[in-house]
Amino acid sequence: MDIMNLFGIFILLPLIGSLVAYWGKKYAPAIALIFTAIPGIFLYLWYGDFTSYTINIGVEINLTFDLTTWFFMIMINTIIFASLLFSLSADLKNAGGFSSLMLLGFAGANGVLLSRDFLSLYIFWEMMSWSAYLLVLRSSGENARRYLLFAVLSAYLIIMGIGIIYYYTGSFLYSNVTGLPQAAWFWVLLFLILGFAVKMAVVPLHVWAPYAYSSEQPFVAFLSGGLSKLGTFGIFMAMYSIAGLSILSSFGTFRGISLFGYPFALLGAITAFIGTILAIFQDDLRKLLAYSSIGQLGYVMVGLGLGTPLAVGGALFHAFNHAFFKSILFLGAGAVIYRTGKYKISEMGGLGYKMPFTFLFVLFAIFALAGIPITSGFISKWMLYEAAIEKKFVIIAPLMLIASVGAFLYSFRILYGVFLGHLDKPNENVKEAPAPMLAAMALLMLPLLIFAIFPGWILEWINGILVDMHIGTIEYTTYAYYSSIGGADMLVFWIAFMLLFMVAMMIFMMKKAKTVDQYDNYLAGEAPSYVRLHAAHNFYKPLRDTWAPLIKYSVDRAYEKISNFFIGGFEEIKKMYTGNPQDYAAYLGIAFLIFMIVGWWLL
Amino acid sequence: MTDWIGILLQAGVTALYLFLAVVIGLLFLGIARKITARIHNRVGPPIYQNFIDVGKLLAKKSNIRHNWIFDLAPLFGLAGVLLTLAYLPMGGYRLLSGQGDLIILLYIMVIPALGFALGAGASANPNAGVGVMRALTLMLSYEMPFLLVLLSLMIFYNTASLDVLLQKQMSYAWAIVVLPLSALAADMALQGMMMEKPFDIPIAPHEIASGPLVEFRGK
Repeated sequence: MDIMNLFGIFILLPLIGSLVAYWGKKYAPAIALIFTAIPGIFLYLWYGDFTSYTINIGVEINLTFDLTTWFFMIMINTIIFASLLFSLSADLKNAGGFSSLMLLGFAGANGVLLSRDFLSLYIFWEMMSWSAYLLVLRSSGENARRYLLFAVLSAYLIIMGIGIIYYYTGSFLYSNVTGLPQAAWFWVLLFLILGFAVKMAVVPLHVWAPYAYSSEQPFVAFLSGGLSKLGTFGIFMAMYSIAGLSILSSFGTFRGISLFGYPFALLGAITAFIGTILAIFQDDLRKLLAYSSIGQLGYVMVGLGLGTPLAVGGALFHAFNHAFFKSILFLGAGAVIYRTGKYKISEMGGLGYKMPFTFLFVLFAIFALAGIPITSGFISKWMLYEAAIEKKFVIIAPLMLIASVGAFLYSFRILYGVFLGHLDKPNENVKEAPAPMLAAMALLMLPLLIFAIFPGWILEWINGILVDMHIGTIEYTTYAYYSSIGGADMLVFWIAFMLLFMVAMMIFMMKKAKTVDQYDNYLAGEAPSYVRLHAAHNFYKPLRDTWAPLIKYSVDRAYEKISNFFIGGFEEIKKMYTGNPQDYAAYLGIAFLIFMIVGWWLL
Repeated sequence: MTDWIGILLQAGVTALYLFLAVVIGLLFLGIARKITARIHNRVGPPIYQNFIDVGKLLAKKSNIRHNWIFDLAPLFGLAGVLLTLAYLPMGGYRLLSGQGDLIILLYIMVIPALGFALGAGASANPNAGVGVMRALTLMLSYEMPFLLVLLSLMIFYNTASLDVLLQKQMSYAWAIVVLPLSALAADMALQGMMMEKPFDIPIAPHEIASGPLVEFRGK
């Protein structure tokens, strides 16, 4: 492997694929699928073959293929593969354009992960960001504008950070970033972290996400599952590779945690809390998942901010889990929306009997989201909780724990509102989702299951990354994982769970039960001929009433107020252009006078 | 090979413990019913009444089920409760819990409730949905004080292990003495968790026909 192979397989190949797929008409997703499978195969082949290349093309740029890159690449590669598999049967309009843009985003994402210099990082970041913009634009101009505003903000923040570094070092390479004064480090880290945090939708910068996540489902699965992890990667690199623990702790420490990282951890915990609370009250399935995505990435931010080995390990693991379970949820929602044409939870209901496999996959993803120990979603949450409790953070830990209780509430809303309960008459003829969609979800389910039984396998990679970045090590065996204050063993859990489940099954099987119709219910003697009995409309109304004084405040509306203020201001300025020549003559006169006075004063 | 014998021995002890736990639980319920009856100035059922009830329900001829999601409720319910019991360290004996971790216990405790929520949703009865919604809303409310209490314990004793918590309390001082406010909060939260009287809206029998359990009583 040399640099051309690396560049060719992971960046050039998807770019070529993007061109080919554009003319592929209805076969475009299939063509794109091949062009994502090839880098995937090479990821498998080149595991362990880690190298770094610096070349000079006028400026020095560096492409590195190391464990961190590999870990994030395998995540993004699997997600885009599953998304394209899903879109095979999704009947998208202009599938060629869709596949082409997806591959463009994929090439950009691979570039961001490979580059270890700011120039190529920025180019690939923009490539990824713009293809995502065009993909959002496919479904709504208004949503795309909101996304664009924040994508541009992110790019500005990143370029400001890069500018400060270039001013001091005169080089774009990560490895050359040394000897910056303390104040410069502060601004560089602040700009880079905030810039990347936009992609992760951390709270004051999350406003774009619910809108952008309302686009076509296969793309949203890739955006939420794959591309948002680039934000995680960026923050991880900025804090632990470019700066490193010694620079972070030079800002002062509190219980061994950098005072620079702590505010971001707190922001992450607040994000987790706010995202969860807002998700509970959404009726639009896509918006519910979007807010849930914001909340889950808040956990990742907590881990990155805290910076102990357990916390960063937990953050990487949770990012990995989130990529998979949130993609399943978005694809599952996509399958439901594809079959019913509706996206309001209160208009669905009872679809689990018509789409049993979709229901099973979504149920499993929800287990992972809620952190039930049958999936690996538990282990990453466990690591983050123990990391916060270990260091006695009495604000972060409760916020995270309460957010995870809130996750049960919106998970049940999805399960009950969409898949369980009363099957509505208009949905009676809904069929199971097409096979490619189910295959995509099944593929994404596997890692969640495998790493729940063998957490040591993934913890080995994460430990490798932590050692690479000089953060420390985590304690684990193939089946168990430990912190300084506790630990758990998944092998014991699985065997006990299976055995006890079988005991329950045996007692259950002893009895024969008569199966009755779903509609044969106890209704206190009433016998309605047909009424819609699905209790999903305004599901958490009592809770909403209780929380009303808090929900009244909204970041979304705060931004709108600011924008209205500026629009009002510009309206006032516009009134200058009256169309009357005498007014313009007067302006000229006033301007001439001002120039005269200023000039006279200067000279 | 001695490893295998040890594992089998532990599995046997755990199975025995689980059986005893179920028996003692039913017995305590019987005693509770007896005490309630005495407070009401009634004779009350015999203390072995709950064993008779379980036997009767297992021997019932006409059982109904709605569909396979409906069946998840009893399966997850029984398996989850037994698993939670097996993860509780009893005195110095750890059973399955290994490190005795409190957080995994908290999440295992969710499994039976989750199974019941799924089973309740599987019927088309809107009362069940409303009941689960109330139970979850109540859960968000009682979990906040309860989790804060657990965190205060974990942070005060600097451990997330139930086993170590017990040992530290034995050697130092009981948590109820050291953290009396936490104990009070936990007591109130537990009242909500057991859905005992002021907190019984999720199952309100006179209003939503026992809520989540409405379809589980056969025909």
